[in-house]
Amino acid sequence: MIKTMHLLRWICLSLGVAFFLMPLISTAKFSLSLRRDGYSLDAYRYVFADPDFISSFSYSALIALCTIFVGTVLVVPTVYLVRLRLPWLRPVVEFIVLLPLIVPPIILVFGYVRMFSSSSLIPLTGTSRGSDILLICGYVTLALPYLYRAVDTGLQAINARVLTEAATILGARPITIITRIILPNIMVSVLSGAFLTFAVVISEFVMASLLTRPAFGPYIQRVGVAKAYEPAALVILSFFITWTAMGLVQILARFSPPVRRESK
Amino acid sequence: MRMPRRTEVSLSEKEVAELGISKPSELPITQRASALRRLDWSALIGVAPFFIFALVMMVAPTVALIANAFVDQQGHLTFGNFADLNTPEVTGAFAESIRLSAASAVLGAVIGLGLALNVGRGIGSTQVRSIVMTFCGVASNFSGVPLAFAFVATLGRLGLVTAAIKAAFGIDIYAAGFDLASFWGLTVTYLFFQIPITVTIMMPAIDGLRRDWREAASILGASSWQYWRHIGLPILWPSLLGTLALLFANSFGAIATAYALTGYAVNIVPILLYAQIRGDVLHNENLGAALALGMIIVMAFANAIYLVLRTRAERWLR
Amino acid sequence: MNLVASSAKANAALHLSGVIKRFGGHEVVRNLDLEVRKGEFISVLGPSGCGKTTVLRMIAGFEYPTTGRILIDGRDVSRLRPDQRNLGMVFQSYALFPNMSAAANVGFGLKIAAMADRDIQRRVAEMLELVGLTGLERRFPYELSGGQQQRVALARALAKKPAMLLLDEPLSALDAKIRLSLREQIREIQTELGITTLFVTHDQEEALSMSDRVAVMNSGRVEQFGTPLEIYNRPATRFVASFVGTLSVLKATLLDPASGSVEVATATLKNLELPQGLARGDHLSLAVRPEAIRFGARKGDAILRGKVTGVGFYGSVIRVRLIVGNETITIDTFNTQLSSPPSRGQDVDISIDPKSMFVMRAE
Repeated sequence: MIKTMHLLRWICLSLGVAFFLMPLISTAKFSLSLRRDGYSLDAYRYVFADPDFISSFSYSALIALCTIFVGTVLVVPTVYLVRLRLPWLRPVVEFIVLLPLIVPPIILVFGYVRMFSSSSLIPLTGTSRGSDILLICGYVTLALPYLYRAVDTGLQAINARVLTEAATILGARPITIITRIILPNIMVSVLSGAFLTFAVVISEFVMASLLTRPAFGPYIQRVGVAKAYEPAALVILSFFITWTAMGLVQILARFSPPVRRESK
Repeated sequence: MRMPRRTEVSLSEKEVAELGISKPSELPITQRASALRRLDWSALIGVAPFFIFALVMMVAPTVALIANAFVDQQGHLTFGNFADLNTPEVTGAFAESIRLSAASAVLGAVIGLGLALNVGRGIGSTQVRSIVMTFCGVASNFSGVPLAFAFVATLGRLGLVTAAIKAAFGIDIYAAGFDLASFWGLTVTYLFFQIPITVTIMMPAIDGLRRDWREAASILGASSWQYWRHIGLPILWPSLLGTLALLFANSFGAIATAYALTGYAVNIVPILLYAQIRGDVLHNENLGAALALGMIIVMAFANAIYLVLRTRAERWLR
Repeated sequence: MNLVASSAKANAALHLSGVIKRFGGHEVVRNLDLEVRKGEFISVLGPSGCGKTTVLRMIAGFEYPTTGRILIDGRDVSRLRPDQRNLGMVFQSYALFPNMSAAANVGFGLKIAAMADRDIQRRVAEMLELVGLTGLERRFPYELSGGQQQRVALARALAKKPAMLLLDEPLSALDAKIRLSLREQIREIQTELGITTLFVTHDQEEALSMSDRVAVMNSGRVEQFGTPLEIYNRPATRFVASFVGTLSVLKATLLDPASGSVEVATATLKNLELPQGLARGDHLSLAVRPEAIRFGARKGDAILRGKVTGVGFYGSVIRVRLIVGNETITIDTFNTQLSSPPSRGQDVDISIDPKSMFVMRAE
C-alpha cells in the first residue's frame, strides 16, 4: 500500500519532469535538424553569421546593462534610506513597487507612446536615442519589483540598521558606511537582482517591438515567422542565457548571508 | 496619485510644527513635530530620484492614459469610449482573455499544488526538492517569444511530441482538433510558467504546515484524509486562492507568448491592444485608452485579491 | 507476591514493559518499565535528549517501540495508530488548528467521531467552561494569548473523554506568571476529572509541584520513579540528586566507618549515615541542599566555618554563597525581616543536620 503510494508519487513527478523537459529536448533536436541527412550545427552557424543577430543581441545586452545600472542606482539608496531613516515612506515605496504588477508592460509602453510622442512636450519617441531611453526606463520599471525585493531582503538579512549604528559609533561617515559596509554585504543580493533583470530583459518583446527598437526579442520573433530551424537555435541560445543568469541567481542565493570581510 | 500625497505630507509637517510651538503642553503633537523636524532632508534628497522616476515614468503615463479614456477625439469629457467598446470584437476579446487566464490559472494552480505537495511532503527527498525549487525559480521567469517557439518545436504541426504521439498511438492530434495556435494550445504553453510560479509560492505555505497539527489531528482520531480535508487544505486555501489571482493577472497581461504563437489568430485583450497601438485598428485612439483602462481594472482587481489573501495566509501561518 | 503484582498490573492505566527505541544505531530509550495507576498524575522529568519526549511519542503512537509493549487500560496498543488509541494530548506549541475557532478546535475530535452537532455544542461549552474560557468560543487562535491558546488545547484534548492525557512540555512556551497559574489549573482539572495524566517536562519545579509521582530520566533510562518527596529527599542516584534541586558538594575523608565520622576541610563531622562497604581513608562527597544549612553553631549538628562570597536576594529567600576550605557552598535562608543576612567578606559559622546530608563515594 505504502509502496504503491510511493511509486505513484514518483510517476507524478516524472510526468511533471517530462512536461518541462520535452520543450527543451524538442527545441534542441529541432535546432540540430537543419540538414536532411543528419544532425548538424548548421542552424547555429547561420544564426551566428547573421549580422542582425550580432547587432540585435549586443543591443539588447547593452540595454540590459544600462537597465541594471539605472535600476541599482535608483533602488539601493532608496531601500537603504527608507529602511533606516524614512520608515514612514515605506508603504508608498511598497505600493510603487507593486505597480508593475497592475500595469503590465503593454499598457506602460502604450502610455509612453502617448506621453512622449513626437508632438508632445518631451518628444522622446521622435529620435532613436530618445526611444532607447524610454526602453531603458520601461525595463527599469519591469525590473523594479525584482531589484527591490532582492535588495530589501539583503538589507534585512545583514541587519543594516545595527551595522550602520555600530559604524556610526566607530566614527564612520555615511558615504563610508554605504560603500564600505552596506554595499559589500548586500553585493550578493544586488547581483542576483541584476542577473534576474538580465534574464527578463534580454529577450523581452512587447516594449522593444512597440518602441520599434532593434532588440533581440523582436528579432527572434521575426526570424521565427520567416524560418524553421534557425528560431529553434535562437531559442536554445536564449534558453542558455536565461538559465545561466537564473542559475547564477540560485547559486548566489546559497552564498547569502554573505561572509564578512575584514577591512585592510 | 503620488503628487497629492507628497504635498499633504509637507503641509501637515508645517502645520504640526506650528502647533508644536504654540501648544508645547500637548505631548503627542510636539513629539510628532520634533520627529518630523528631525527628518533629515539629506535622506529625502537621496530617495528623490526614485520618486521622480516613479512619478514621471510609471504614474504619469498611466494616469495620462486613464485620463484619455474619458476624452473624445475632440478633447471633450465623455464616457462614450466605454460604450463604444461594446463591440463583438472587444467584448469577445475580454471574454476570451478571461477564459484563457482562468483556465491557465486554475490548471496551473491545481497541478502546481499537486507537484508542490508531492515534492514537499510526499517524496521527502531534500535533493529532489532542491532541484525542483531551483528549476521552478528559473522556469517561472521563462516566458515570451522563446517559450512560444519551444512549444512550436514540441506540439506544433511538426513538433517532436506531435510526431511521437502519431508514431506511438496512431493519433494525429491536429486531425483530432488540437491546435497550438488556439485556446488550449495557449493554455498548455502558459502552464510552463504558471505551474512553476505556483510551486515557488505554495512551497513555503506547505512548509508552514506544522507537524504538530497533523499529530494533534491524528491523536484526536482523524485519518490522513480527514486531516487534509479539515486542516491541511483549509490552511493552504488562502495561499492557493491568492496564487490563483496572481496567475490570473499574470496571464491576463501577458502578450509576447501569445503573439509569437498565434499572431492575431487568437482574439485576446493584450493582442487587440497591441494591434491598436501599432495600427489603430479600432479607428479611435482613445478607444485604445479605454481598452487599457479595462485591462488595468481587471488586473488591479486580481492583484488586490492576491494581496488580501496573502496577508490572511501569513496571519495564519505565523 | 505474584498475585499482588498481577493485580497491580490489571489495575494499571498505563504499562510500559521492556520498551526499547532505536533510531538508526542509537538507543534513545533503553529497556523502560513503567506502571501508572488510574487517575495518577505522573511527570517524566529529565534534561533535553534524555528520551522523555520519545517515550511520550511512543505512548501517543507517533513512534513505534523497537521492542517492548505498551498497554493502556490493559489493552496492547504498541502497534496501533494514534487515532486508534483514544488519547488526549497537549503540545508544547499548542498546535491549535489556525483555521478553526476555539470552539471548532475543541469540537474537532467529536466531529471526527461523528457525534451529533447538538451534543458537540454542549460538550464544547462544558469544556470551555472547565478551562475558564466561556465567551471566547468564536475567537481564532491568533486572537488568543498564549495561555488562552494552551487552555483551548487542553479543552480540545479532554473533550473526547480520552483514556489518558499526555502533556508535552505544555507550559514552556508561556510567561512565568501564566505558567504558574496554568500549572495549578491543570492539576485542579486533572484531579476533578480523575484522568490519568503523563506530563513530560525538563522543569523540576513543575514536576515536583504538580505530580503524584515523578520518573526522572537520564540517557534513555528511568533513574528513579517515586513521589516528589522521595525524589527530592532521597535521590536514588547521583544524577537524580544533582538534577533535582541545588546541591553543594564537599570533599571529605572517612575517619571511622563505625561512628560515621569524616574529616571535612576544617572540621570533623560525626554520626553520618554512611553507605555500606566503605573503609577508613576513603574519599567521599558530602552533598547538601541549600535549605538544610543554618547560620550559627547549633549543638548536635555538623558545624563548619566559612567566608561569605556573595549574597543574592530572591524575595522570600536569600541565597548566600560562602567558601569552606576550597569548596563553595550555597545556603538558602528565609527573608524574615528580623535577622539581617550576613554581608560579603564576613566569617560565619554554619550548621548542618548530619541526617540531611547525602554521602557518596567520591569519583
